[in-house]
Amino acid sequence: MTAVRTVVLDASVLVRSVIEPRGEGAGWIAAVDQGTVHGHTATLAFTEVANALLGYVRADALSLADATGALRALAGGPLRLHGSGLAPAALGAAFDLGLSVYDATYAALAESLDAVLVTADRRLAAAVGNAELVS
Amino acid sequence: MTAMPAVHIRDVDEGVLAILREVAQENNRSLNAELVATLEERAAEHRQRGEMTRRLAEIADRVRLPPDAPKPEDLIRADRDSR
Repeated sequence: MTAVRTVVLDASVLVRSVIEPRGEGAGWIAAVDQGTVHGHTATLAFTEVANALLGYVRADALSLADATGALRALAGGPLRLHGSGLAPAALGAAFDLGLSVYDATYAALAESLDAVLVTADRRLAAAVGNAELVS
Repeated sequence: MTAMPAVHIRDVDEGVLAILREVAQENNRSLNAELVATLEERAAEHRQRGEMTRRLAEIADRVRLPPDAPKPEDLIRADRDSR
């Protein structure tokens, strides 16, 4: 039996899944949704996603109702969420890797789950050993 | 009232069972109630497969990104670096 891969998706991948339906981000979300990979993220991601979507709403690229709906869809899906328990490890990872605690939250989560960190952010991907960059 | 069906599970690892007993205690319910709740969660997850993707695809159809729209990672990078 093949083990199901475990991945950590950061906020950039979640936003990509909203605005680029045929992109790699949407592909990762579809894989999580179908159960072909186990997807995890930090609760922090939802604040970051909301902030990014707000930018698109203000630019009239997306309605507020759709931005809200996208957040609800992501929150209601099978992504496993990790909260404040990550903070101590994130602080250590931020110091060790020279990252912000926000970036390091995802790095610490991936490390704790022995998972690949999937991100569209080059800086974060470069700082984490086991990362996959979404192009 | 119709009796609910019962399932007999063989070959349960003792360590796993001990953890499930702990979880049941934490949730203030019997082991049976804990296992039923776990099965219901798994069934709900299965039933909802594809729902997130479908809802996001509907929304994505209405997204109208201008050619110069910033990439999500650039918006998030600016957000992370500004705090």
